[in-house]
Amino acid sequence: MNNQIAATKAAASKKSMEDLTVVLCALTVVGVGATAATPFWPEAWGRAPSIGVVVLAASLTVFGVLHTLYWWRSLDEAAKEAHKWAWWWGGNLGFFVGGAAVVIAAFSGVNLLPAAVPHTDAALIALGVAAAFAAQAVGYGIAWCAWWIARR
Amino acid sequence: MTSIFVNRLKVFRAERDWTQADLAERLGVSRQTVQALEKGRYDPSLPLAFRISRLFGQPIEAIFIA
Repeated sequence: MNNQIAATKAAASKKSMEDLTVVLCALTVVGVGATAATPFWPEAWGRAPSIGVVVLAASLTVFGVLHTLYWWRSLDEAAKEAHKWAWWWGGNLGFFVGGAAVVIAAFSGVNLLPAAVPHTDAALIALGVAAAFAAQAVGYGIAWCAWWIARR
Repeated sequence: MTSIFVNRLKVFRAERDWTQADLAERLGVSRQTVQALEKGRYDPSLPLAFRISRLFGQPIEAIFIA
């Protein structure tokens, strides 16, 4: 009985993900087609984007959140454990090692920004954020693979 | 990495002539999870242990031996 419930829940989550994709495709058509400016847009925020762009941006955000939720529910407990372990160990170690590498490189005078990019404060902050994210992602990926390889 | 428990999952599965994929489908988990369980490299949660127990019609302590 419980086994059927688990399988049904996973199947329902996968079906929900497929339904979401169909809805996103429909909203993309709206996003491309609705070119009128968004009404009630505050002047302080600059020129109003088209309604389509606003609808598409909002639906992409909702899609991302719901898709992640359904994807997580479709995983079994070992797969969830692998992701949690990879998030903690891989993410944190990746962040510390990658962050240290960036700091050491920066203080050693290495020019981390491409020459074509203006060396502004905003660009340097963006580089730091991107480097931290990339380091965590690499650490996460390595830890996730290691978790499964150790259990084969 | 190896569990402190010995388990007889593979024995019960073989008695029923099921593949790892068959067992995984019946339990609602992936084949990789069944492989990890059988090799004793992943300890199931209590709910999954009960599901395994019910599926094989055996008490938990007959499947997982400390």
